[in-house]
Amino acid sequence: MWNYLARRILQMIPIIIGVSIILFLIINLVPGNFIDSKVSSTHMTPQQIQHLKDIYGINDPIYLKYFKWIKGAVHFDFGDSFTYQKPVSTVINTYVWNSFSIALVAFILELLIAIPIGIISATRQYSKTDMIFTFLALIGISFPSFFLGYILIKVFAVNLHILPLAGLNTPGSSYIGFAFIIDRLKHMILPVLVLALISAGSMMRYTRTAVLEIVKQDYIRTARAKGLSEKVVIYKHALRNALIPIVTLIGLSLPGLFSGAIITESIFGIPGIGKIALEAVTKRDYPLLMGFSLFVAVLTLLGNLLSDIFYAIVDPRVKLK
Amino acid sequence: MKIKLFTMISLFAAVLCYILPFLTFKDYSSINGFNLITSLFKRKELHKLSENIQTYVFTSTSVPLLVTFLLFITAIVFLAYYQFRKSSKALSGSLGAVICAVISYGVQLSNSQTSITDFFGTILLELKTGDGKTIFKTSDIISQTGPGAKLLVIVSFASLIFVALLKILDVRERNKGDNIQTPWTMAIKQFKRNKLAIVGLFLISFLIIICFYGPVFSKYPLLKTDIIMAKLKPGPEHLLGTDSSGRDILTRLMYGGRISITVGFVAVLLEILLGTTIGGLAGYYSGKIDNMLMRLVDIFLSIPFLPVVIIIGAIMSDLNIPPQRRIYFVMFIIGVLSWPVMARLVRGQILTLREQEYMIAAEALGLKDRRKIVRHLIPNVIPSIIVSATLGIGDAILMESALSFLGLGVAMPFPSWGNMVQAVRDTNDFILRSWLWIPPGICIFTIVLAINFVGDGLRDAFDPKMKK
Repeated sequence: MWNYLARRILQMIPIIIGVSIILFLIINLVPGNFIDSKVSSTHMTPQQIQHLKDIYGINDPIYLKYFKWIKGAVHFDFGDSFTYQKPVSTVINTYVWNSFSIALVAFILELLIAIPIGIISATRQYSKTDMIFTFLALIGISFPSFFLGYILIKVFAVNLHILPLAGLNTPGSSYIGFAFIIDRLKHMILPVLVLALISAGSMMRYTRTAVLEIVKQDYIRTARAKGLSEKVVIYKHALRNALIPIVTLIGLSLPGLFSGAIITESIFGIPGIGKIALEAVTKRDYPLLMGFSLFVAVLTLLGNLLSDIFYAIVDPRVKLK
Repeated sequence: MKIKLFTMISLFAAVLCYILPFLTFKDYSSINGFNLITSLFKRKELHKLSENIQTYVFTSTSVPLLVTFLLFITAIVFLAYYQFRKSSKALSGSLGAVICAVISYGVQLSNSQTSITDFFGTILLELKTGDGKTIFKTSDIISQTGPGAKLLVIVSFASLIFVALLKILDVRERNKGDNIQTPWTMAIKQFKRNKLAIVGLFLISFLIIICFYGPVFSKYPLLKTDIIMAKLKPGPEHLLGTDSSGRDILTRLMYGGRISITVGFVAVLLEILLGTTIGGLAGYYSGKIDNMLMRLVDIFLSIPFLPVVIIIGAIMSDLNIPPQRRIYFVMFIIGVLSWPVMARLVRGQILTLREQEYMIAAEALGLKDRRKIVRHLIPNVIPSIIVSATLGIGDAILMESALSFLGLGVAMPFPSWGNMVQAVRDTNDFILRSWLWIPPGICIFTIVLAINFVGDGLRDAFDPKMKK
């Protein structure tokens, strides 16, 4: 097990390097540099500008720049964000928890909706219930998140006035204790709903396929043949094995909890990492973007590893070598 | 058989109508960025046709237009052959030719972003204006599509319907006796049982037809702004109202649909091309090549999709890429970032197929590698590719709309369904004028939903385990 872990983590290194090279190349496509855009309004002599550029290493060849950057990145130093004037890792750490709280609630809601419905759908394959749930799941998959978000805002916040428009708290309010929590919850309902509805569809389809796959196996037929009730067959014998692929999927979605939802967060004005990333794009804050993208890439790789480990934990037939 | 007569008439009419748009105006030009197939324009000017109309362009040919013409002729020839020999292959040929002709005319229409004006359209305009002394400039005409183009669209669809009817009747007659079941006919049968999938197929065809051929019938030009007419409510004049610059929303929806749909299809085409090539190579030549290619796949899979797409979108604005060109980049980015999933799928399939007996037989026969991959492995992977590609189109359309919504994809003044939803940014429009942003949102939703229906139906149809 530990051997396996060590090897997997070692294998991640070349991939991270590859990702960082590609990201670095993309970001270096940008014309101009931030010194030029900053000094245009000041009275600096060309020598001073040159000196500044030398300090920041702007005229270095691209591979040198990359090595400098990666050297810092190894020590979690991704440079300073232009807009926040703080280290990128600090900025990410400040905002990621807002995203995480919303994403976590949405994820739990998604599982609560998707897994039972998926099981019901599979046990009654091709029935009317199955058709309706399939239809609803496909609707969820097909909704553009921004459109769903605005429709919910329009209905619940603008027309019905029962939920707040945006943000995480009522601005200017000084709620404390319980009132604060209620206020926060009210603000979280819509974004959580959007995130959960958009992803519940595919999770439900996935559960359905997983259960169907298991229900067709021989040992289920045996269980039925020995006269077990349908409930016991499905919920005791089939479900345990059907959950295996679902658990790996949960492992895969863990990084998504931290990476923020760019579109949903910006629609609802939630100060999370996704919104910050989008603002960084409009402000051309490239160190922050670079740090954020690499952060997400590492999370994705860790998620893959995690899902493999989960797989081995829940399925004793799988041996990690 | 009356249908045969109607078919012949409509096909001949199509060929005739085809000639009408040939007589176009001097400044008739395609807007760059929208030519999917390079158009070659050739012009002969005809001076002083009458006192008021000074220069005409007599011929204006483009490749898709020429192809349309040839295809209609082919359809007529095939139909005549069918009439005398009763060969069902000839009928299939005729149907194929008409379908291709309609598609290539659609391409021609999307090449000319503004409108196709023709000889008769000008004459009509001259008659309307009346005093006999006006000199027409292209800008006068550009807002109107000539009757020639409209007629051609109507007639070609009529002939399409007639030929399809003929084909259906023919197939019915032949299938009375035997029926042979191949995997494909079984899949089609299974697919037809899925009502949602059929509904989806109809919805997709409907939207594509409306978006690609609809603008011909629109009175309003795409880019002409008229601030007095801004933000009108939906009414008889503007069915879906007008946007913040006074442009007709229905017209923009149709043009936007062209872009969104094209982006979806082209991005997925690119995805298939890259994904199957790399996945096929990796699956077939296991070992070092496989290892290297799969590491590449791993790298691309770990690149965070949305952030990178957004960064590239921002870089496009920094590099001052003109709005018309941007859609190419959007297609390219979506295609390039989504191939790894396809590559993995193809590789996995090929790995299992490679071990099967028929491949040993192929080996024993001494077939070349290329032949083994192209003829024996890829065809068996095609069903999974089709399913994954269909669902991929939906994803690509969603991705494009999200990107355009954020202002980083297709840029104004050119519409795409995503950037039309941007109207929500204006709080007043969001609250008071929902006709500005709800229709494009519904369009995105509808087409993606329809695509998902079809993809779902295809998956069931190709999967032998899913039999009822």
